[in-house]
Amino acid sequence: MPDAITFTVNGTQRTINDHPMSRLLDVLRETLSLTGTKEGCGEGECGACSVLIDGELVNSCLVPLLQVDGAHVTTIEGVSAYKIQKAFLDEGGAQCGICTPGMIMATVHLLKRNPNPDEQQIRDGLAGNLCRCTGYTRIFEAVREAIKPR
Amino acid sequence: MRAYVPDYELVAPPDLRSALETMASEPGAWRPIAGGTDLMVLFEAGRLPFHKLLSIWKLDELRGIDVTPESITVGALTSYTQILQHAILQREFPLLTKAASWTGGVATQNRGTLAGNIANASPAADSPPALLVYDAQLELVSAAGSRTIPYNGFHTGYKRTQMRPDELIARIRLPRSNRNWHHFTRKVGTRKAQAISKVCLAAVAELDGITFKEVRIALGSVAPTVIRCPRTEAFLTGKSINNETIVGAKETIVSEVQPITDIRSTADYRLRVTANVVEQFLLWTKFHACCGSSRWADAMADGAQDPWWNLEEKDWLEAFASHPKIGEKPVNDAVATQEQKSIGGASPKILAALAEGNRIYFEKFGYIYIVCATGKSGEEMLATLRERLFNDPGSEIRIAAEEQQKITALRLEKFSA
Repeated sequence: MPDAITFTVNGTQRTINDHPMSRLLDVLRETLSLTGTKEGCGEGECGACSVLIDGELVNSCLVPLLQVDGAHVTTIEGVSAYKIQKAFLDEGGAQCGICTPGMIMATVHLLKRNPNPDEQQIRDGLAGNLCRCTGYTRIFEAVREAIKPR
Repeated sequence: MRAYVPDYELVAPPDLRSALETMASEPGAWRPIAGGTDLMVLFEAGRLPFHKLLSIWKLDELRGIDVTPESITVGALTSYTQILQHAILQREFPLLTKAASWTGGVATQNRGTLAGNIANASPAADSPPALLVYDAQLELVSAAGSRTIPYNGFHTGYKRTQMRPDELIARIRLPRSNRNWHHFTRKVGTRKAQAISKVCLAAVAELDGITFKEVRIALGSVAPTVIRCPRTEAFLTGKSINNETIVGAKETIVSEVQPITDIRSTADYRLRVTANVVEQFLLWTKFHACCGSSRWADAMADGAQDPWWNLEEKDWLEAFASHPKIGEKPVNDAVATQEQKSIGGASPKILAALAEGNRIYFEKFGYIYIVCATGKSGEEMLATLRERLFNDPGSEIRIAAEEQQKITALRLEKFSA
C-alpha cells in the first residue's frame, strides 16, 4: 500500500489512503463525501469540477491525488460566496445546476484577483466553464450583479 | 473505458537529482507528469499507455523565469498563467503570450506548462509556432549532464522528438534582440474558445523601408510536426509587399506544408487556409509598418473600412508608442530616420529645446509628441510642440491622432508607389 497522503480540505487536515493516481475529483466526492464538486466531461474541458488548490483554480478531474500532498484544497463547500451565490439565483444564472459549483469557483477565483472585472475579463475568467442551459448571458449578468457596490 | 487505477504507479521524487536518477535507472520506463492537462485526459479515457509515472510538478529547480540582457530563460514548469503575467514576455515575445491566452481556460492555464506543451509534441499545440519564430533553445537534463539544442528540429516526426528516454526539458531559452520586429499570429479553429487549431501561424518580420529584411514563419497543424517555412522565408527576404510578392509567397508556402485530412479538417481546407493566413500576415505587416496600432492593422488586413476614428484611446496610444521621439536618433528604424531627415540640419540648441519640450509634453499628456515630420524643420516642429502644450488633453489626443493619420497615409503611399 502506498504512503498515506495528507492535505487540507476546506481548512480541515485529512489523511487519505487512496491510490496516488486517484483523481482528486473522485477522492473529494467518494472518499470525503464532498459531492458539491461535479463531474462533467472528465477531460478538463467543462470546468464543472473546478476547485482551488493553494488558491489557484484547477480542474480536479485532471489532478492525481499525490500532487495535492501538503496542499490546501478549497471546494464549493468551503467558500463563503454568499453574494455570488445569491446573484446567480437572483439573475437566473443557475438552471440544471451541474455547472453552477464550477461557475461559482471560477467567479470566486476571478474576483479574488480582480475585484472589478470588465465584460471581457468576466468572459475570459469563465471561459473554461461550460453551461448547456443558460446561454451564459444570465451567468455573466450574475457576475456583474455580484460586483456591484451596495 | 475508464482506466483501472491500480494498474498505474505514480511517484513524486523530492528533487530533480532523484527524479533524473529514477529515469536513468530504467530508461524509457518512467513518463514525467507535470500539470496533467494532457496525460490525465488520456488516463481517464483508459488510453494512457505509460503505466509508471513520475510527478515533477513540485520540482522547484524547474520553475522560475530568469531575465538577462541576452535572453529570457523560462523554467520547464512555468504555467501559461505565469507566461501571461510576465511583463517582459508580453512586450518582447507577444506571440508566446498570445498562444498562452489561447490555451484552454483559466484552470488549464494554471496547470498546463510550457515544457509539457513541447514534450507532448502535438503538431496542433499553440505555443510551438511562437517558440520556433523566436529561435528558442531547449536545455535538456539527465543524470549524465545537460545539453542545449535549438528548438527548430527538436520534433523529428509525429509525436517524436530528439529527447532521449532519460532526459527532461529543464528550461526554454528565448534570445532577446532589439530588432524592430512586427509580430503576427493567427489561429484558425472551429470556434474561438478552447479550440484545437486547424491551422496556426506565427510570424515575425523586420522591414527595411518597404522591403523585408528578415522574415520568420512557423506553422502548426499542417505537417507531422510544427514547422518553420524556410523556402517562403527566403522567397520574401529582400522583396517589398505588393500583389506579386503575395501571390509568390502563397505559391511557395503551399509547396512546403503537408496537411492531412482528419477529424478536425480536410487537407484541402488546410492548404487553402495556410495560403490565406500567409497573405493576411503580409498585408498586416504592411499596415502595421504604417501605423503601430495592432487593431487598426487587423481591421485593414481583413479588408475592413479604415477604423481609425472608431478605435479606442488605448489603440491610438499603442500607435504613438511605436514612434521614436522627435529629435532623438531612431534606432533600427529606417522609415522614421527618413521621415525625420529634415531635422538633420537642426542646431544642438534646437535639439536640446525639442528634448526638453518632449519631456514636458510627456509629463502633461502621458504619451510622446506626435507630429507628421516629413518636410518639417526642427524649428517648425519645436514651435508646433510649444503651441500644442497649451491644449487640453481631450483636444490634444485628437490632434495627435490626426498627425498619426497623416504619417500613416504617407507611409501607405510608399508601399503602393
